Amino acid sequence: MMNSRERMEAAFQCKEVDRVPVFCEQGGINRRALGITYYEMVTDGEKNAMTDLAWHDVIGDDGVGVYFDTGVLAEAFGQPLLYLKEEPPYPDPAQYILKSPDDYHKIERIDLMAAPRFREMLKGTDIIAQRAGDEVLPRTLSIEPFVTLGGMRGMQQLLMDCRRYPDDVRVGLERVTDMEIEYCQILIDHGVRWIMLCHDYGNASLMSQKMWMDLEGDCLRRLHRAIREKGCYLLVHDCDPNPYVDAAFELGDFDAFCLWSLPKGMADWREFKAKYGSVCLNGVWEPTPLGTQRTYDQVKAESRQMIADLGPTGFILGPGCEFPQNGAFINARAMVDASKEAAGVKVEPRPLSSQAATVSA
Amino acid sequence: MPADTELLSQLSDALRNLEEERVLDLTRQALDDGRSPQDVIQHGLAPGITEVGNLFEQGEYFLPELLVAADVFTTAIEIVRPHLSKTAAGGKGAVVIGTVKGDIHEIGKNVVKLMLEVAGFTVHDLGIDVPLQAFVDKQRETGAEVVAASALLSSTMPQLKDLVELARAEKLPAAVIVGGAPVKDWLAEEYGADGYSPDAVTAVRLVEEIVAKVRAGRGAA
Repeated sequence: MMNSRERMEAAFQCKEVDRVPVFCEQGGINRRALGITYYEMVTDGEKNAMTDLAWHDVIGDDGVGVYFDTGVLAEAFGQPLLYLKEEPPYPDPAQYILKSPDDYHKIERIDLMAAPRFREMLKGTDIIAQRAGDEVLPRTLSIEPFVTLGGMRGMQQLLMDCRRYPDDVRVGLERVTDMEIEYCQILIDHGVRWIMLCHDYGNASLMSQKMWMDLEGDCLRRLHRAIREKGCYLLVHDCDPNPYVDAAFELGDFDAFCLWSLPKGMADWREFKAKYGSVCLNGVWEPTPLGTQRTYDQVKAESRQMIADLGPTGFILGPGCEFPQNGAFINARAMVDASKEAAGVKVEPRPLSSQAATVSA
Repeated sequence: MPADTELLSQLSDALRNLEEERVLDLTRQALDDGRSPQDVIQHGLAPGITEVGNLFEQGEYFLPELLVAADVFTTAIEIVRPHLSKTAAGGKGAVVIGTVKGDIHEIGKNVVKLMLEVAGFTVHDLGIDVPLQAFVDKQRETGAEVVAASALLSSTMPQLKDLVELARAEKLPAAVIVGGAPVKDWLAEEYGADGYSPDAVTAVRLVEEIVAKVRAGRGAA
């Protein structure tokens, strides 16, 4: 049997695996493994690392690493965030630091090591690399520059600026990209071996493909290149309907694509795999049904079907976006159990809870 | 000087084409030329924003275009508003709208709000991160026929069901409709909501149907 690290590397390389790896994309639910608050999870690197290791112990999935939230870099630039006890922090909408298109030109390089939460991320990454680096492939998440810029300008205003002041937006994106590259490179130096890079603006829910590529294409090319040049695996994530998949391939090499929605014009995931089989596919569960609307048995059965259709090589099972933080633990476990069963590994039956309806909705 | 109808047609085209300064100039010019504010809206601004909505539905325009159009439309409406009678502006009905507690997403909600105002509704916008009781209190204060709530996160989505239950428990004399990316029509039905819309254009149609029924019911009573 492979260990988690070996399994993930084989999947990224589209090579034979002992069983399909599972990545729950846990970004909030894993805090319940140790009973810590969301606030603790996004401010304390040690607690963040230990709770993800605990989640790995309980659930058995293969995606282990430190991830705080999408506001770390914006905060490092000086954007005030609002912190809640049990929700992710978010930019204070009353205090966006970019107040006009001129302000994109005022974004300057920052010393990331002076940012407390970034230092905490490094501390957590060190813990995972040192404790479990032989067993797991340490991961982190990077976000496209648009997200950071939106956190400093307000997403609604940023989208309007894209139409009205594209040249100014482009300057802002380039400045943020410089720091995003450094952010990734430092994390890789501390042991991160794969990065999930969110292309959350690269779909028809937000902007046209032309606008996305015109404004951010060069930035993403630089970011892709910087990550790959450090020998780190790159998983591109796009969690909205109608993702711009072909455009993503124009941005440079990457190892895997994380999705739950098919690109426009595609009939099913088998067609996707046939066309884009050169990269590993991570998904394809829609998060809300997976975490909050299915029973354990349903998740296991549907996961088995996904594995049969899309695996075993070049496929990582999981949701195409974050596992709902109010979701059912047992459904995360169901994906791992499905992976094991599909590979002929004995899984203990769960007669008491397998039919339980989920609680939240 | 172009004929009046041509002027309003140009206004509509300018809005459709997102020519912001031209929209505002033509709006002022039409009023200065003596066109009624109702005509400026109905034959100039409304067709333009409707066409923008159509282009959005067809996948020609996206959020940046929709937001810019809504922004310039709002500015143009503010130019027209002082000339409108009270019933003409927002006299079609009232809606309380907001994003539920714990959720700060608002772009979709803001577009729905603007499209409802275009259609002649008065919209009481509670903003983001809104406690459920605030929806109820605002409906009682305003007598709005519709309460519209959105949630963009799976973690905040269950509050939509809680809002429906609260409205029923309080015997709120209004329909409760829901929306937001993770919400689906069958889920809204499970929650017991009076309606669901996947986007701003259908939201307006839904509110028009509901308000017509509510007013017909009040008239019969």
